[in-house]
Amino acid sequence: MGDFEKDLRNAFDEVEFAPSERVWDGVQAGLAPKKKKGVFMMWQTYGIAATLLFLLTMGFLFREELFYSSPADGPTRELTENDNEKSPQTQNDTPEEQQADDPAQSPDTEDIELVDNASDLTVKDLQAQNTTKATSPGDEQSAGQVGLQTAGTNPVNAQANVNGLSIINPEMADVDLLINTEVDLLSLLARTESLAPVRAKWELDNMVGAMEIGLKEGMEEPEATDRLTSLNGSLGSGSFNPNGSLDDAGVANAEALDFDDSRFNASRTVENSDERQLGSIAVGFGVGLPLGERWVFKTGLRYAQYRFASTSNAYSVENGQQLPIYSRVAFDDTQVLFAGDYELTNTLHSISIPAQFGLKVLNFNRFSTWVNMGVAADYFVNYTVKGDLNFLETRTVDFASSDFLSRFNMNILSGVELSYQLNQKFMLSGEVFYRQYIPIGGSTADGVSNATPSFFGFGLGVNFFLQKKD
Amino acid sequence: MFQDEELIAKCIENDQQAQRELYNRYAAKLMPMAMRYARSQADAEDILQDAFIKIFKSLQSFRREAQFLTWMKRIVINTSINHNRKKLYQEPMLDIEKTPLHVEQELIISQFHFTELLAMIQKLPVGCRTVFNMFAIEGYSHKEIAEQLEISEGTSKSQYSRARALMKAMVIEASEIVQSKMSI
Repeated sequence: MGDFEKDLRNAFDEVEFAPSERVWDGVQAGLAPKKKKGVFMMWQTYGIAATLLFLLTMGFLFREELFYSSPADGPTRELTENDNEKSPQTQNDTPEEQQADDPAQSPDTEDIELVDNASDLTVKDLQAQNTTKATSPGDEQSAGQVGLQTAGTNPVNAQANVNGLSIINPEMADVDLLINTEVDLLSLLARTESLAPVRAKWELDNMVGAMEIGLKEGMEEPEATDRLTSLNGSLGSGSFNPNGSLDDAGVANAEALDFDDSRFNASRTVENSDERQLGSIAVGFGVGLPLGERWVFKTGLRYAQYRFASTSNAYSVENGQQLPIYSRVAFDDTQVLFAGDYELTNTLHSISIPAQFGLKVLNFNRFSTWVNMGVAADYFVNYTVKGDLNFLETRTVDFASSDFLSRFNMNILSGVELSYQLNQKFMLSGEVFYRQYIPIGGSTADGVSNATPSFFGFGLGVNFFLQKKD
Repeated sequence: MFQDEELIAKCIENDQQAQRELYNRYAAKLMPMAMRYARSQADAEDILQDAFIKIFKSLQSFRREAQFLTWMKRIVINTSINHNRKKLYQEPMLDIEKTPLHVEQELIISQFHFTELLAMIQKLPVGCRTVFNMFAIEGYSHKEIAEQLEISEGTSKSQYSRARALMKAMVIEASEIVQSKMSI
């Protein structure tokens, strides 16, 4: 070590140089607890919101008893006065013989005989009679019949008679026993648990089965939902990527722009880090127009809020305001000031009109899978950039100066949707989709941009099918 | 006025007043170090800001056996090296064959104020500046510098030689200016 080094050390020993106040501002900002939510928290929030919406919808549907076919919705089953008069053959059958006739009959199933041919009394008529007749002696037959018939509206407890074929429980074949048994509705309902398989089968078959029965019985055929116009509401979330990649960590967007630091008369570089997704939320409503049995055309209106983060090392002074710099949108480069790295939060609000075709590719009982393709027009209402230094104000972005978005953007939509038919009126659906924005050719500091932002998200929706009036 | 120990304890509890006091006490002492490694005062302030954030966040790991100022200086130096490392990838250091060596004559720098020396050091290319600071002032060996900057020992030596040559040229130029002013 020579004298030069010693002299140099001595020259710098014990010297002091006060930094400017902005250093302390930056230290404070760096130590302050982050106000923004992380990706997990954002998704958690939106997930909770979506779950609440789903549960509220389900609760509403349960409250309205829409999961089950009400007597008014299902095919009306008509009874005759001789409903309980078994055919001679049936009356003469021993229980064993009856069992042989219909081995599928559950021994727990109440004895019931429904005849759907020319009717004298409907279920409602019998219910009305029950309130008067069943209380008087000798009317046990009617009372028992009504009890059974009421339960029969929930077919767990009854066997439908199709095309006039009577199905009789062999164990309850004794007409006298049947007649002397006043069946309580509550006890019948309580027995549904033991008949869960039958009930499940009925529920699964309800959509198709009900139509078949109605057709065979000469009743009006309910509308197939595939061919009904529907209204829908949806709630979703996802991640907006201004660079057009799904990889939110590996996107290279380290913009590097040199500016003169007005305070220190030196050339410095404005730098933004890669974008990180913070999440998004979207709500919308729309209409689905059937195009045959497998195709549907969907359109509607959708509001979305997208959020993503970055860092910056500079801010600009514009009209007396100190504003954060995100170099992909314009800023006044005549007064650029530099600071230590700080966090930026970009927030976009858009209204979108999608137009897409859905193709049903798979159908399994009440579940169906759809592939959706189409386009959407996005109108960005507002775009703000917020820095987390306490002296910075929020920048409202002029879309004309953005290199990745204009106020009006088109994008290509594609998605896969799984739906579940609750009943003839309601259907729940969940969708994952991808939106690829069409390049806008916006201008950047170093040329024309062909940035293609993208959005990857999911949504939950409720569809309401409009029934055609007679 | 709190002693360092008390101040550190309060800072660990996120007492903002204590943090401000600690900053006021040491920022000016640490700033010249950051300035030696930086290209400008603004760069140095960025380094100092990052260093203080690290200092406050890692106060709990401070072992009392070391001097507090020495511990903080080490953080500033490491932050400065990391800051320059990014730039070193953009401006790779020259190897020894291309480096002119003119180090025969000893440099006399005692006549200069530290701000003048700072201005000279800041004019050095980033590689030279980093190696020069680490070797001449911080006292690292070329082996240690090579490990920290992920360069060869030879490159470290050559960078230092080049830094001295450039410093010599600047010192001579500055001396001539001073002498010409005095003669007028």
